Amino acid sequence: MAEDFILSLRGITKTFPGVVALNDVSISFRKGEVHALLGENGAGKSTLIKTVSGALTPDTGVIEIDGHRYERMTPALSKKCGIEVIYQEFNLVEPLTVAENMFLGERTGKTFNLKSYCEKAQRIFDEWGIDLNPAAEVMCLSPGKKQLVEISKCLCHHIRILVLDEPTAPLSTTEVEILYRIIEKLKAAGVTVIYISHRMEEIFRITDRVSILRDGQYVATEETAATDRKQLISLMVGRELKESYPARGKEPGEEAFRAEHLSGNGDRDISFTVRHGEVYGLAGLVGAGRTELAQVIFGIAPREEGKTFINGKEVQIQSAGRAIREGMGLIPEDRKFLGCLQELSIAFNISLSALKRICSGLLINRKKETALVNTYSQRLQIKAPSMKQEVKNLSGGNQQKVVLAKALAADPEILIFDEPTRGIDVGAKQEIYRLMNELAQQGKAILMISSELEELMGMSDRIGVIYEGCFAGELERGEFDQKLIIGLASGMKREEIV
Amino acid sequence: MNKVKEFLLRNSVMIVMLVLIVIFSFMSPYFLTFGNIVNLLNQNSYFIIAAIGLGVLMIAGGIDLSVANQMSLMGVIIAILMIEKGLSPVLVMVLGLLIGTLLGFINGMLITRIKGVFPLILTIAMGNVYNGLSFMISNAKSYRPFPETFRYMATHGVLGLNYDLLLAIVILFAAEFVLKKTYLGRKIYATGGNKDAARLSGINIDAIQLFAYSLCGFMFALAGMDLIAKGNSVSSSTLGSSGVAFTCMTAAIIGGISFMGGKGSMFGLIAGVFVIQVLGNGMQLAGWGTYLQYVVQGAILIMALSFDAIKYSMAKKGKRIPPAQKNQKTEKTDHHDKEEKLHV
Repeated sequence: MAEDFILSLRGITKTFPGVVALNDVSISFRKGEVHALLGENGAGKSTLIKTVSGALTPDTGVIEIDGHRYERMTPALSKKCGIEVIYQEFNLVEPLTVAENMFLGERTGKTFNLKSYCEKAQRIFDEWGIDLNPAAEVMCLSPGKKQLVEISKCLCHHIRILVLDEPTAPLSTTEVEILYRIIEKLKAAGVTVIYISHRMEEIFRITDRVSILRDGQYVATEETAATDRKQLISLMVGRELKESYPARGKEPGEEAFRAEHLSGNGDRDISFTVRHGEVYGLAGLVGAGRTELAQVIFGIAPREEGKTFINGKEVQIQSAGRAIREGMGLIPEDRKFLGCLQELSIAFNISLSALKRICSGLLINRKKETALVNTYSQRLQIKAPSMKQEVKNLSGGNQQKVVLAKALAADPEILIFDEPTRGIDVGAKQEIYRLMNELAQQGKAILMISSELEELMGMSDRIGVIYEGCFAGELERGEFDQKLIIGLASGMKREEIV
Repeated sequence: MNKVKEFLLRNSVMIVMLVLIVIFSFMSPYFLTFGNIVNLLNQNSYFIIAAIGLGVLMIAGGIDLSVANQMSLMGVIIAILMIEKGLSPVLVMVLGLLIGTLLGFINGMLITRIKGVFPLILTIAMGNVYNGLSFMISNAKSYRPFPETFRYMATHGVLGLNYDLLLAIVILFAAEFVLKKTYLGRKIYATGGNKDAARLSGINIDAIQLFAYSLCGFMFALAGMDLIAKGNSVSSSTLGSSGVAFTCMTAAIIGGISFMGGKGSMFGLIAGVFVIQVLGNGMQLAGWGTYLQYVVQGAILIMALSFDAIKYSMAKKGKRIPPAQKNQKTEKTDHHDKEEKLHV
């Protein structure tokens, strides 16, 4: 029954420099169904959505809406076809009221009339059973209510396809129920809902069909009723190991770092240990709270509860300065804004964390500085005409090496790598892996956060899995299994998976 | 062609200064005489000191527009202590420096404690506070004359160069030394360059900002005393409305100190100071009115700002875009598109 497909994607391919984000993906969506898109971090779900909304232009492929074929969409065209997308980040004008946000850019009558806006908004709320005050300022609303404003914004247009990107992440339980009710009503009205979520229970609760993407490839589409969690997970995993990971000779030694019942910054009660010479991987979905955990450990975000120990001694870390003095180093996720000072030179950046080491009294000792900078730039093989070069002129891989050199120059014992290989090319990746191994072999303890599962499994001695701010489980190298890790990261119990 | 363009941009301050000197030496034969140049330098000692204070603060990523009012408040207090109470000038000078430092420190405290406040607006507000206090203390009275000891440095010198000018030059070199050669200097550049990255590198950015604001207050107290000693009189209205904050900011930006912080040097700053002074002096000698000078000064600042913007965009063009940035870019267009969508 081809005629009841409202949206068909045929052979969509999209490449970014160095990555194939989507490779020949074809999916068809039926009229009035709730269709889930499932896949690991970086499987291509968001990219696919963006090609539908017109935010991205696919390299090849056809988008078919109601039998009309389009080579590409534009935001205006997609809107005209009745496609609305709600992204994870809110797109609201905070100081304005709910009603104003809903009808932003529309004209009703000759002059602006807040009352008529509010009445119009209220009619929509009544129709869909949404509990919102149209005259409230968006600024004052909870994240859940803001999400409802986003949805209401779509409801007041002629809507035929609604795309929800992880809509329940900011919602409370009751708000989730409201969302489900709205989705049911939309479905009854013949609207197709494309639903991106990592939460298995939601998928089984509200979706009719589910399509799985892996590594930018289309894997399968299943009727939700005819499948189970185990099958979905096994479809999601099974990536081929494309890269080789250098092996480490030595066994990990004594405990270097221990976290006990650590809470704060959205994370709850997390305990784990990292040993000298060990790479401890932290797995989890994007937004699960891994970076947040690193921030608590490093003293950038306040800790609410719990203790941390270095070499068995309890340490109180309230600032990054303290963390560095206690022998920790952080390679932050956001290399460009947090990792280094873009406008300043390589030498300036490398010596920044190690100022104490290159100073004689209050003055900077040029000789010591040059020696330090040369040592680390050679060790990391930073490719630049001169160490006076500004960091912003370097390639991504070399920038990352500068960030690394900056952390290493302070001679830390414990290193936190937050997404160390994001956005750098394959060659540079290998160099970073090699370096991490070298560091581990020197006895340094490494905590590695990565959203690339294969990299995490290739590099780690043990892996801890975080799910929604909680510790979901820990795996020894022998038990590493993609299904198990993804299952734990999606909120399933170990018994359910194995 | 590109090299020429780059050379012109890099040395734009020097070129502007040379052009100005040539123009004014044609317009007034007196302009390039030894007497005029020494006079110009002697008159500007206070300006150099003040500009260093604000320049360092701007490198640290801050800005203080209340400096003129700080000077005015400090000025009337020391005038009362010295002239009406008859306290020892040396003691009062030390007190004056302490008051200036304190006023800068207060601004710094407010800016580091109230998270997310804009220093620009906050210091305008504090400027009003200081201005009001100054008038309340002085009752809008004018104080003069000052004791000879207080005026000594501003009125005596060697080889025609006053001691206060020599002091300004010493401070200039000291400031450049601290910025470029010390621990502290590094932290100042790092804080101004990127506060978040600096914090993650273990720098106490609040402490650095507090220091920079306090130092700025100190320098303006010194500059204020120099200015008062030169003029031998002080009143709340003359100092408070002197526009010194604007002039110093202009000098700093002309001299290559970015409004965003983290960039620039003291020598560039001094070149900026001279451009403004040469311009003012030249226009005076050429018989242009004071009011026109305001217009020209404003226009010069806009020119300097656009030079800064051109330099920035040129640097951006030459930049290689690694994949990570590319992704961010697509996210941005995404938002943009969404906005566009809303307006359709």
